[in-house]
Amino acid sequence: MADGPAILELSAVSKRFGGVQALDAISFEVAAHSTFGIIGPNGAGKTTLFNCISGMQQPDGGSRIVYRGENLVGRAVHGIARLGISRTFQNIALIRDQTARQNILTGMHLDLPYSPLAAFFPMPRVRGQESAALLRIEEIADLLKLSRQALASRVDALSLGHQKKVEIARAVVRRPELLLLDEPAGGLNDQESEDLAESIRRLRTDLNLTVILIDHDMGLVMSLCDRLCVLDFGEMVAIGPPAQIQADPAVIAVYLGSDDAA
Amino acid sequence: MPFARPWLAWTMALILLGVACAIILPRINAYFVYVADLALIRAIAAIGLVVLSGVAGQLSLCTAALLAVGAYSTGMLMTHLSVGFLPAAICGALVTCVIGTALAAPALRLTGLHLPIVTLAFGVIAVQLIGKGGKLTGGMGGLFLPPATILGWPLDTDLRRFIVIIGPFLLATAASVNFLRLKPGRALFALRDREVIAQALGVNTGGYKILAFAYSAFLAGLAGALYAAFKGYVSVDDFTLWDSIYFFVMIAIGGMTSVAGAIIGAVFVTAVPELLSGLAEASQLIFGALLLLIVAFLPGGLASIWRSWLRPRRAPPALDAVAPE
Repeated sequence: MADGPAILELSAVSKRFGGVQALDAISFEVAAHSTFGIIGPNGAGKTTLFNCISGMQQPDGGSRIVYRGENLVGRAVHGIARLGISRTFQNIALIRDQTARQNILTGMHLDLPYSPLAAFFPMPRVRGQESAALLRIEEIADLLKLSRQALASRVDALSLGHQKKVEIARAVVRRPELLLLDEPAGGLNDQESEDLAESIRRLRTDLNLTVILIDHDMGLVMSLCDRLCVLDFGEMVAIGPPAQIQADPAVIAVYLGSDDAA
Repeated sequence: MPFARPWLAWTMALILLGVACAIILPRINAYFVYVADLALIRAIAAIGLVVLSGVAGQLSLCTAALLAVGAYSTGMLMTHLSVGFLPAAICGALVTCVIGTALAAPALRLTGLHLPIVTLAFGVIAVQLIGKGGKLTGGMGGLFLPPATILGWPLDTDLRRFIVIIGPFLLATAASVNFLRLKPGRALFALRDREVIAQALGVNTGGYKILAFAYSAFLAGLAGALYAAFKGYVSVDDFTLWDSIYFFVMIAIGGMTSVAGAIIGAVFVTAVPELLSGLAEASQLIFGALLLLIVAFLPGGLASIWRSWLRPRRAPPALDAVAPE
């Protein structure tokens, strides 16, 4: 699986904030339909990398992020989303006073091609698209094992595990090709984390997704990812399949804080 | 949550309207219709403000100035060019829509309190310019309109004007309810909540901000055009900053994010001072106290009563019994 054609290629992606080199010439490729992991200590630059891919932060000059042959650097955030890239956020970013269903419906925005002006007096075509969206949400909810009851609840009344699922549902409901998951297991207990891994597996196969995953839960990352890279202070310390990363002395040094880090 | 069971909020609005009818109608029929006319005109503009400020989060302090643009465009077309009321009103609403859309330009760049300040400045300047318009606008003295007619049918009683106002009011209500319930409404709620998240979901937030400005200005211009025909006379005194703030009061006490809230707020702010007018100075005090009570006990506005009192309370979902912190 990991050897398919690359869907995303990063070359020399750098980002500097004042005196801090958040990302230092990061280069890697992600194969289509694979799962790629990004690990590293807090402050290593993982989320900054996601922000650069999704257009929320602009990488420094010379950086190239190519998705299906299109350079993403300099594109608007919604333009990148339109290309088929979707993401979740480290801290839950749902609209708290809306129901789970409304939140997920918001994620259908790009799959509802009717003009916003057509919403004033919706014709059958518009109604058809909207009701298809509602059906689509039920499908995704089933895939993620979100109950109808959970769908009808306000998100701030849901447990963290369910909120994380709602956010993933919102990100995948429009059938993206590339999904960026930022610490989906953060704050979850072991059982919820296992349940989440199972959900991600199902999504991956059923929706034919390519996934890039940031997480601190090593069990989750090692079991899900075909390949992963390790960041430390903005530098890529190692890249390879999980078994190789686990045995890499440089990686062990990053996590144990040894002095002779490569 | 703005979408669930909207019919309950509508029932509320109708009951409020009905109670107001029951109190006033037997006594002064024509007077009641006059107040209803005014309330519905204000409701049209308040609905626009709900879309722009309540839902999209773009705080605007120039609603009354946009009404002035609509009222004066309509009035000037009727007075100087002898255009009929109907085409003049449509032009008035469209002119206001264009000017309101231009106001979106600063909104695409500004954050926080800068936008309300820019809209405030726009409102003050626009009304000043109208006041200095000489013969064109009638200056500070105002502009007297020729009698409005629609296809030869004169709008010379409050009841006839009511009949003309209710059509655009119902259209604006239906269009706005649909707009907020479907894709554009969801995009605007998301952009108010956190703009960058809305963008990550594919929402062209700049485009939707422009749309919100354009639509709310169109409604304000429409309300202004109807107001011009309703009064037969337009004056800058009716479109001060204070009037703009009043529109904010309407949506704040009615409900910032629902069309029903805008209508309830407009009826409340128009009818209650009229009901209290017999009490002379005490009326303002009572009105102010009522506003305070509503804000203190109904932070979601009058339209939220259905949510807290009428809707059966749901037990917290059992599936969350083991929620981690």
